[in-house]
Order: sequence, then C-alpha cells, then structure tokens
Amino acid sequence: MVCSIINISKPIATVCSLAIAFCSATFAQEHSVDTTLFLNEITISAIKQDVNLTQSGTANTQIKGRDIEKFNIISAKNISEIAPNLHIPDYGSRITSSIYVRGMGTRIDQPVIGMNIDNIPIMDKNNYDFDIIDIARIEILRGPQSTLFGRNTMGGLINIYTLSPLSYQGVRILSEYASGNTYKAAVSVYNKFSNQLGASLTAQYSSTDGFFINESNGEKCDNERQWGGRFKLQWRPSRNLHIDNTFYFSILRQGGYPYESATTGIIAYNDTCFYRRNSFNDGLTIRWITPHFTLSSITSFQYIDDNMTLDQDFLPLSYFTLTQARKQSTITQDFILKGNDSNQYKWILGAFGFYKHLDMSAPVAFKDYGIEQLIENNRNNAVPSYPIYWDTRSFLLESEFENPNYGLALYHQSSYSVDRWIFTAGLRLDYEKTDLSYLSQCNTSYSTYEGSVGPNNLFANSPVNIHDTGDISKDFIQLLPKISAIYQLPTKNRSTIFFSLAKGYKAGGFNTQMFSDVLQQRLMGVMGLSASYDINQVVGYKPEQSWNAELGTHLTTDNNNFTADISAFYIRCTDQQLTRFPDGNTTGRIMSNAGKARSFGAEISLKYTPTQNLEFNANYGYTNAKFIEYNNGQQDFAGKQIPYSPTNTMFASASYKIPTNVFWLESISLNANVKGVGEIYWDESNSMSQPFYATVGASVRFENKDYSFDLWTQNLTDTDFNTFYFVSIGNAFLQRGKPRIIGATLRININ
Amino acid sequence: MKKVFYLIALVFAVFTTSCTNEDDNNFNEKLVLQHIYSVTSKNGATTTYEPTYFTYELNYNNGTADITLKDVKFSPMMPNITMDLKNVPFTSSMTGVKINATDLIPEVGGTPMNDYTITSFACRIAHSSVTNISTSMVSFVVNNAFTINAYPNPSTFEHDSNTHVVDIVSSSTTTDFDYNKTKYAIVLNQETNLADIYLYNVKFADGMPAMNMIFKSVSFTSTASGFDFTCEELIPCLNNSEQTPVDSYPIKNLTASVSGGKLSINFLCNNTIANRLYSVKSTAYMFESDSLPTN
Repeated sequence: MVCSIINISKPIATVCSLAIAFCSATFAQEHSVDTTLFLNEITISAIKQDVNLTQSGTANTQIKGRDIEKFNIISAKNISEIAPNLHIPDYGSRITSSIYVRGMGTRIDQPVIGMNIDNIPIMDKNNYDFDIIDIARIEILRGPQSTLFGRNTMGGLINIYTLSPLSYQGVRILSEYASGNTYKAAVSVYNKFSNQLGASLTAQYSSTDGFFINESNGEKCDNERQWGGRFKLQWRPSRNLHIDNTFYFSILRQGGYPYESATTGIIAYNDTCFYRRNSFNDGLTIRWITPHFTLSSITSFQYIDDNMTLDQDFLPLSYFTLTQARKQSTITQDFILKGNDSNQYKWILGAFGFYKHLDMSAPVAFKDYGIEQLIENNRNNAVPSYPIYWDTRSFLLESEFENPNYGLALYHQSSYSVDRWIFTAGLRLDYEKTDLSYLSQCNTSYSTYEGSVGPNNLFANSPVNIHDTGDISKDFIQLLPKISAIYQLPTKNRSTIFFSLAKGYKAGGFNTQMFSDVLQQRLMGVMGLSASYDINQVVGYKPEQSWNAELGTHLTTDNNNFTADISAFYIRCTDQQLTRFPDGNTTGRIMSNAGKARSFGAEISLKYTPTQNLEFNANYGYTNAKFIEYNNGQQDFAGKQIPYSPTNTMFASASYKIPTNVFWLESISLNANVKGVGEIYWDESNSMSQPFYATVGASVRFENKDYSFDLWTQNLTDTDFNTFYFVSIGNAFLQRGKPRIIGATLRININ
Repeated sequence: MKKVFYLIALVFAVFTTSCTNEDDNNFNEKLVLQHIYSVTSKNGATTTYEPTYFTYELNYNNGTADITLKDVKFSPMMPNITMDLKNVPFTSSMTGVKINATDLIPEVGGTPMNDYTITSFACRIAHSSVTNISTSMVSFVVNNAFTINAYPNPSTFEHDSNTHVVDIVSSSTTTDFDYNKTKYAIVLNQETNLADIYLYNVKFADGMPAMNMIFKSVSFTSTASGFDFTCEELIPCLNNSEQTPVDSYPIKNLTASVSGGKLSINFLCNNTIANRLYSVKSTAYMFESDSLPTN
C-alpha cells in the first residue's frame, strides 16, 4: 500500500522484496519497541559505563524509543536542547558537527563531545551527522568522560544504540513527507534465526529540495540526497560468549551552504558549493562473560571519503573557491576487563589504541575578481607607478597532506561501596602522536609595467614557482584522573546525590586549512609584500584541557511518576581551542588557543507522569562561560563570553494519549513542545549576538500495534532566528534557521 | 607469576641499559660562519680586514666549544694567522649560545701562543629566521691592546624591533604610529664600502600594506664598535626578483649605526600617494633580549 501511494526509488522497492524473502522464517513472539525486555538488552550493551545511569555520578539525559519517534530524532542534530546545555546548531552542511556543551565546543577539527554508535567510537567529527534508522536509545552524558573514553570527550559523550534483532523481530517500514519536498523512506528487517542468532538489515533513502534560494541562480541551495544501510548480526554461541557485528554505510550528496549576507539578507553566490560523502563503518564487539569478570573487545574499521567544495567568498563575485577532499581510514581497538563480582568492590581495566590515516587535497582556486581585489590592488596601491597584472585570470594554490595519527591508552577505574556510599576513582594514561607531511605549491606568473598596464610598457615578467614541502610532528601525553562520590538516599527507588571531579582533554592538531593562506602569504612575499601574520603561529594548535567539578542529584519518587535530575558545575579550561578567521584577506579558518577560560552553570531535567496517558518533560540549562585570559595580540578578550555557546537552553514537552475503542485505532496521542536557546555571541568581542529564541513543535499520532501515523510540525510559529554568523574577507554572513516545517510520517510494523 | 616478574625485570634492564648508553647521548654541532671584523688599536684607529670564517665546534655534552678564527690579523704589519681556542665554556638556552671567557691562550698549528692573551671574549650564536642559518657575533681583546669586533655578513636584526613613525600631517599636526614587526638584514661590500639594507615587514602607517624593501648602495664606515651608515636620498625597491622601484616612498636623510648587536636607523620617507611625510626611527637587535657587550 505504501509503495503504491508514494513513488519509491528502485533500491527501496528491491529491498522490500528481499525483506519479504528474508522474513520467511518464523518470528518469535512479537515485542513492541519499548518493552522491558528490549530495554534490558540495550542497557546490557553498555560495556564501560554505569549500567543504570539514573544512579550514576554523571549528569545525563536518556531518550528512549517512543520519544525518539515523537520528537523525530534521526540524527545527532535532532537532540539539540533536548538535553540541557547541549547545543548542536544546524548550519552549513553535514560535515559541520559543531557541538557546544556547557560553554565548550569548536566549529572545526577536534570535537568536545564523543559519539559511540552501538559502543563503536566514531573517530571523525565530520562523520557525526548522518541519519540513523531505528534508534532504540540515546544517552547524553555531560561532563568529562575522558578517563574511560579518552580524547575528545571533555564535554561528554553521546551513546546511540540501535534496535537489536534479538529483542525485536519483524519488518518496519517508514515513509515520510514534509515541507521543502522532503521525503524519507526506510525499511528494516529483524529476524531471529534461533535463540542464539539474530540479524537485521536496514535500508534508507531521503531527499530534500531545501528551503533557501541562491539568488544568483534562482535555485534552492540546501538540497540533499542520502542513502544508507545497516547490517547487524548478533550471535550468542554460548551463554558466556556474545558476538555483535554492525556494518553501516552512508552516501550523501548535499548542496551548498545557505549563508546570506548580513547586510542584504540575500543568499547569492556564483560558484559551486557542495558536500559529498561516502562512508562506512564496521564494528565488532566480543564479550566473554564469566562469573568473576567480563572480557570485552571492541574493534572497528571506519572509512570516510568526502569532498567539500565552497564558493569561499559566498558572494556573486569570482573571488576564490576552496576544495577539501579527504580519504581517511581508521582502526580502533579497545580491550576491557571488568569485574563481575557483586561485592563492595568493582573495577574496570582497559587498553585502547587507534590508528588513523588521512590523505587530503585542499586546493584554493583564485579567480579573476579575487586576483584583482586581493592581489593586484593590494600591490598596486602601494606601488602605483609600476602596476602588476596577472598573466592568467585564475590559478591554484595547491595543498596536499598526509596525516597519520595514532594513540595508545591504558585506563582503570575502581568503585568501592560502603553503606549508602559509592566512591569511585579512575585514571587514564593517554598518548597520541600526529604527523603531517605537506606539499604546498603554486605555479603562476605576473607582469610588471612601467607607468600603466600595456604591451609597450613591460618592465618585467615574473614567474612564480613555489614548491614547499615539510614534515611536522606533534605528540601529546595526558594523565586523566577522575573521582566521584555517590550517596544513595533512603528511598524506594534509590535516588542519589553525587559529586565528581574529572579532567577532560581535547587533542591538539594542525591547521591544515591555513596552509593555503601560508601559500598565499608566500606568494605575496615573492611579489615584495609581507605576511600579515606570523606563519609559525598558525600551523598547529595545542591540546585543550579542563577540570570539571560537579554536584548533582538523580531523584525519583516512590511511585515512579516524577523524576528530577539536577546538577551544578564549574569548569576551568586552559588553552581553549577557538575557531576564528585570521586577520586580513585570507581564505582559511584557524584553530587557535585562548589562554584560560571558565564556565559555571546548572541544569535541571524534570519528568512528570501523573497518569499512564499524560507526560510532562522540562529541561533547562544555564551556562556562564567567559575568557579569563585571552589576548590575540590585538585585543584583550578577558571577561568576554565565549562565542557560539549559548547562555541558556530549554526544552518542554507535554504529551497526552487518548485511548479509543476502535479496533483499527488504539489511541490518539497529542504532543506539544518548545525548544529555546540563547543568547549566543558570535565573536570573541561579543559585538554581535543572537538573542534568546524559542521554536514550537507539535504532533498528532494515530496508532495501533501495527502502525502509527504522525502529523507533525516544527517551528510552528515560523520564528526567525540565526544559527551561525561569521566574517570572511571583511564581509559578514549569517545562516537563518529553518522555517516552519509540516510533515507526515507513516510507520508500519509487521511482526 | 614468576615468569611475569622475570619478564618485567628483563624489560626494565634492557630499558635502563639503553638509557645509560653513552653513545646515545653525544650531541655536537659544528658551525662555519663568515665574519667581517674590525680591529681598534689603543690609539683609537679602526681597521676593517678581509672577511674570514670562524668555526665553532660545540659539545653540548660537556658545554665546551673549540673555536677557530681563520686568517685573522690585528695590525696591517701582522701576517694572517689561524688561531684555535680550545675548550671554551659556553651556555645554551632557547635564545641561543652564549660564550663569555677571559685569559684565553690561543693555539696556532697546535702550539700555544703565549705571546697572545685573549681577554673579554664574548660571543653569541643564534638561528636567524630571516636568513634561516645561524648567525654569530664576537668581540674580544688581545693583549689589552687590540679590540676586535666581528659581525656576520649578512647581519640580521630581528629581535625586539621597535619602529616609531611621526606622520607629519601638516606643520602643526602630527600623528604617531608604532610598529614592532620590522626585521632587518644588512649586506656589506667592503670593496665599495656600500651596503644593501633589507627591511622586512616595513610599514609607516596603519593603512599601508607591509612591504619588504631594499635600501640599496648605502655608504658605510667602520667604527670601534661596528658600522655607521649614511645616505642623503634613495629610491627603495621591492625585495622581489625584478626589484621594482618603490618611487611612491622616496627616502631622505638616512643615518644608521650598528653597535654591540643593536641597529638604530632613522630616515625621512615621503609618501607621494597620500602626500605625507614620515619621520621614521627604528631599532632592532641581532639577538633576543640582551645585546652583545661591547669592548
């Protein structure tokens, strides 16, 4: 029925046919998505962290099955603001996974928060944002998780667990249509061949025309098409041996960046912008469970092949274009030994290693107007009696990189329970080395004339042949300790109060985007003009480190109808990594280190379920994040708010389920929600900001055990807001948030 | 358990043995650098001699240097000799190598020359980011009679740069502009007594793009502590392959001096584009923080 109504692409139709064949085996007893059995399977999947997060020493938010569907969560960006103090703005393209938590975060390079999918760490932030079908559970752990999870988890960790074929068997079909000619289709097949062996196969496709028009060509610029799939195998050869393998791939073709001029409010750029990505991941988890310990091995191979090409000036003028084409392979291996004895002492011991190899090509193409404005005019204004003119009206600044990167870590954590107290201490020794081999070259030429440009006035012809190569290496060694104390209140549901102190760490690296600028500076030097900044200071950036102290509580009433998670935190940060555009008419972005920063704030999450059919959720996060010391040599930013990270986040939701007495319609559910975020400062000097804004969402769901049909809307009031601001070659740009979106989603479960 | 213990002990033994292997800790550096040197006698007369090479063999292990002064003389009547100074103590830090020694007896051909006593031997060696090679400056006194100052050629002045520009807007109005990123290199031609002064990252006003310029063919004379430079007027050129004349910034009344590792340079610059007159005073040092003590 669904296939006949909606024009499905051929691959999906083929998968539907295969699904029918694949499901010929007898199904086990049907399970709905969020049964207790299903949840237990998922919580057991958590290998390193506390199994029961509601009694842990970590501020956390958990989003489960029905809520994931209710709020239309299909990728990491959709959980923005649902967890307090977590802001994942939607701008640019899917390469942009800028995540801000409690005042920390960056736009490029190293992330502040880690991501695991089915326990497999995603090692590249550029691969964080892709659609995931059949998410069973999401956990957002806030505060440093560096002791157990290492690099780039200084702000926290997002764990995503997908549906298990050992818990659920059947066929799930999703079909969705929404504003912007947005279409999604997915089919998933879950089969349990025996009590020990289950497998699932998922295929998905989505496309959108986008919402924003590039006035230069009259076409929508934020269009997208995405294909993806997942194959999951879970095998229990014996009671003591669990083997899980998950393979998934994603193919993305996306249009450009809907950045509008802050002056005109118009998106208008004349050169090509797109983002293309092919990626696949395979993760193998093996657990050997004995009465006294569990030995786990998590192995992964990750591959990403992407190309980001931008009209870097975002103007209807031919300044320059930038391409960043990467091929990266990563191998990770984690061995975890965890004690199983149910006595006062619990422990975990682990060893982690990774190797990542990146090959990248990042040419910048200078075009006619850019040559005239940024090179010729700059030079001719200084020496007008001997003007220059470029011999060809476009040329390349070529940069090629090879970046092998590896790390090793040992970690241990011990917990000791006495009476109502649980004391935990952990330590991680983390070593990382990164090498960069680069080739920067430029082959072009210009002519100098005496008096005025003309064939009879040639003074000199100057070839420019720059060929720079080099090797740079950095290594980092870190000790990452953590202590916590949890007190279990004398309540039926073991509410807790916790205190924790932990160190967080974000790796350093190289500013590969600046190499084209370095080359441009070399070009200017060949002409007799000087560099506008010290090249030695832009090549690399240092690791960022933080100390996080936190006091909080997880409260649950005896009748389980009210929960509250409250925490207050203080973070001290050194060498905070900041993304900024360097001075002058440059083409790249630079990661630099601010001196010191601090952040303090509080978070509260409430859930109230007065009846089985009525539920209220409310979250609020406050962060006061400022620089303590940060002077970039031109301006002192001490006391200023850290940019791009919001001061407030809030989320509220009310859901009401109305049972019906109709056999084909078991219930109608109504939901209304509101998300709010702001104020967000756009620069270190706090001269520009996005005030606090809120967007309203709502949905009506018609469902029975075999299907659900949702009518939903996001940004119901069509609130105007900006998600991003930046300045490039003296021009300011903004990206607007998406307008009102209305959609319908049909889900069918065939058990 | 025993096997594990013995394995750990074996690894530890191998580790400590390899760490105490003396061959792994040997670190020597040899530098051969050209110098122009001048000798000032007791009567105050200064003579500049042919450029020569000084060789420094630095043993970072024991902190001593063997220094060879090739083909030097201290008076016109004296033949050129090559002097070796053995086991001269030095210190090294992030700013480079410093040598301060006295009462040194040089060797010539392996034989101590007791007729020569070198006192107040001061030397600094550092890496120059302008030339991308090492640069050094030396001064010493021989027999309390001859004072020698040796400068590298080219000499670079790239530290603690300060340029103060008075922008003479009109006869009654001036604005000041300070800039601290300019670096200098000076190439001396002893045959012609003319020098080329290279200015990197030079800027006289906020709106002016920073340029790399050359002041060509500036007259110089030797002094007891270094050199003096003068030029009435010149047209600078860009430091590029075609050396494009920068006639929009003609230079007048240039005076400069190098003494004890410090460069002081003053001149007037007429910006013909904006019709402004700049009075420029600039200083820079060869080495980071301290300049070399003069004798």
